[in-house]
Amino acid sequence: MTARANPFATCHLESIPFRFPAGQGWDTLLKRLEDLKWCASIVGGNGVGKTTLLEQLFPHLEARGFEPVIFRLQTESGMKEKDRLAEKIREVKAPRFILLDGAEQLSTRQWLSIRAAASEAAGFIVTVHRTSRLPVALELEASSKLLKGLVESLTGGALPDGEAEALFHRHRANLRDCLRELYDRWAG
Amino acid sequence: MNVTISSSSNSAAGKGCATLFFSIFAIAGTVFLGFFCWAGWNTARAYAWKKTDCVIESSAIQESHDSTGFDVSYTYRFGGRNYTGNRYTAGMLSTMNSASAQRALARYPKGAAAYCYVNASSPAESALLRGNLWVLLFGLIPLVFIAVGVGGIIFVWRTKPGAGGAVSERLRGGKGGVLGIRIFGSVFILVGGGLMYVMLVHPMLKEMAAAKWPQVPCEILSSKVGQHSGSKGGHTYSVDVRYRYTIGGREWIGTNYNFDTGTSSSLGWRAVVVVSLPAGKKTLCHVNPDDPLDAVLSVQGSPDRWFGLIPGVFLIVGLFIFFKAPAAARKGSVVPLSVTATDSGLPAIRQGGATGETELKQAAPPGCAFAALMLFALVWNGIVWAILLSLGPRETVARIFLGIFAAIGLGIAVGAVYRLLALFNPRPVLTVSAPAVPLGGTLEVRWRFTGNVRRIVKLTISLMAREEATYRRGTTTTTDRSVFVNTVLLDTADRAQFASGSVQVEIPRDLIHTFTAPNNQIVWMLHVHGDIPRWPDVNAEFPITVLPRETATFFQEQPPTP
Amino acid sequence: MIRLGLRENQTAFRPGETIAGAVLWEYEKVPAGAEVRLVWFTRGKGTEDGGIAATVAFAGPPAADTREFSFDAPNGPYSFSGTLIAVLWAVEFVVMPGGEFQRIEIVIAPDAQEIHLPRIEQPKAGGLQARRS
Repeated sequence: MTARANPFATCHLESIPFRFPAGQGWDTLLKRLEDLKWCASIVGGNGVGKTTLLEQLFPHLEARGFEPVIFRLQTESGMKEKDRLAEKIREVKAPRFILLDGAEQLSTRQWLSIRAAASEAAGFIVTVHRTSRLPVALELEASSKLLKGLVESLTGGALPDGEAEALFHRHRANLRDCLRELYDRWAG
Repeated sequence: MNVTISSSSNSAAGKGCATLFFSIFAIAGTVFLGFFCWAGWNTARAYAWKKTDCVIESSAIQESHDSTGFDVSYTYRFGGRNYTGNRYTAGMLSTMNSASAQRALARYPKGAAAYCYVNASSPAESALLRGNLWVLLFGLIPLVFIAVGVGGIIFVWRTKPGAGGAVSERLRGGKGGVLGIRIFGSVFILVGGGLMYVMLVHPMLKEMAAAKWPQVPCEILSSKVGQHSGSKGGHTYSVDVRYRYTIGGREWIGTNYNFDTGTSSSLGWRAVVVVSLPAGKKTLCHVNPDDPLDAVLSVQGSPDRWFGLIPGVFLIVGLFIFFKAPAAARKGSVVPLSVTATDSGLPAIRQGGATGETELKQAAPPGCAFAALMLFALVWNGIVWAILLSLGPRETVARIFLGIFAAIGLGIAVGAVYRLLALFNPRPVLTVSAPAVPLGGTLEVRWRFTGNVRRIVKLTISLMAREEATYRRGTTTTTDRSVFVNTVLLDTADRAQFASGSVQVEIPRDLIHTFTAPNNQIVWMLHVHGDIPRWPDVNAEFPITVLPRETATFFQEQPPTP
Repeated sequence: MIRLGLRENQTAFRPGETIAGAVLWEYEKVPAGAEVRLVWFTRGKGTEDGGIAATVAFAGPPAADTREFSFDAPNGPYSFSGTLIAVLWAVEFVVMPGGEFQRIEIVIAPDAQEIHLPRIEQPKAGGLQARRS
């Protein structure tokens, strides 16, 4: 199957609506964020959907009159880049709202500097791997059931029995890696 | 709004900071160099002094808190007048220690006749010994600082060639550049090699020799952990021991615990040694049969020994620079391609840039991989082994745990050695008839090798094309590759064909041209593979630029560049 | 309400050919702007890249109108689809504010057909004869 037709192409993965854990939804998340004075963290391991959630939070924040700005830190981001982040964040003032993806990449020194720099923004939401730094608004955990559901919505079909579980364990609960392996399988 | 943090080093502020940083190197180097020049002059001028007879009036060893000195007084006659001198050495001398002080005392006893060196223009100025000129070699260290500082500033402010620059221009002959780069590399080699010899190789050689020396009874006179102020405000430590032994009916004083040089912040093993050597303890020491002052208590290296590997980084960098000099000079003198990428991901052709022979640039030079791996191996192994060797005999669990890291370090070192071997491979040089070729077009590829091509037993040159897709999501970035063209152009075991030759490459008409977008690329390349038995193979990729079909007419109509 | 159409419903073009069509919009209020864009973008395993090759802007658009547009199909990148990457072309009609848009995917390639890249695992034998210099 060509890249054009592959159901696991990036554009399809990134357009899947975020699937909340049972009993949760946009309303409960936004309520929780408001209770936390819009200063909170979204916690979860690699590939569980933190970035997707952050991106899809965008229109909900805009609907409340905020102007969200996303900052991304990646594994290969250098010390200098991380140090410069505080300067950029300091320029963000209400009603602009900071969404920081990958805050676990920051050292304590960098984090404290960024935390102080974000004080004039209307809100500050970060994604991290473990509970720390800011109060937790939502803790994400992937499951093989979630993987099955995603595959069904992407392909319209189901994986063979036991396949989702095998993939899920092989990639240590990293859904992103599971879906990338499926891309390769579909590509042939 | 979406902001991805990315680096940019072109700002004036960035350049200013970098310039300040490199200026500190250059200034520090210049100050040290000035000191060495001054000391060097003082040492060298004594070699012009007149050798004169003298008589030793008095001589004695001076022991203070943490140093040993030699006090001497002598008389001499010069120009019909008598003078008294008390200077032992003129210029730089290696550090005076207990052994050298005792040697001096044995050589210059009271009443002995000796020679001194007198400054003819100022006869009151004299010395018994002239300083060592070889110590001036340490003056090369500030040269490294100056080279790094000045080179760094030049690099920071060097203007990048403009996008509309001339095509395939070959500038500046290589020889002067090669010599300069080799001199630069030599400084690193001398400094790194010298320090590594002093810190690691020499002590090990001495230990091997001392293990065969006769052992004689000796008595510990004193022992303590010496404490010295470190450069960063902390302390460094040394084993300060004095012991007495008798050779040839004469009593000698030894101060060497082992052959390691310098002090370090490791206190633990030194404290253990000092505790094991209380004053009055009778033990054995190894004494050089040719020099009774050359004695040592232990012929085992200390855990600090492996810090001697650190200068090896300088040595390797120096060797790399030295041997890569021709390639580096060539790289600096040629602007090979007139093709860059446009916003549409298409290769862009500058006017007049579509014709003319072009030497292709290798995608990933082997030296880079080696340098990175070796640096990593040195740092990793240096740290792991320093900790491992400092562990006490009962710390078995820690030893096992660190053993895993040591095994990984060994693997990295093996990988680095493998890369090092690959550096000595014959190096392919590929030249193509044009800097870019359209789909369906033909390109003439000429190859030659530098180095000993006879080591290759089979040579394969292939045309390859692959997709490269980079995925950035969350905090991770991964790149996947998929090959869609792999056509063998040459596959021969005929050694007569290896040294040089040419092939015609037909680029398939119905495929996709070179495409370069930030996350997605179509890369065309020529791949050279040479089999070398029992040695890393030659494996080199040379990217080429393939244009859309429609540019074929452009190529034909383009006048040749003057 | 917006509509975008290509002449004779043609969706495959050779480089240099004319891509022509018309757009229609109908709003109660006067839109701030309206543009037809010729865009390329990638699809596949990597993060998407894209660019705008050409734009036809309709200055001072009324609340409702019909306009024609045309572009010259560029030399590249060609429409292709491989294992990891596909490059797609499209004509988009965008109305501001609000960014309501309509898109028609097209092919731009030498034979007016999307290029399909094979996936090669092993080298193909049978190269050309080398000659010694």
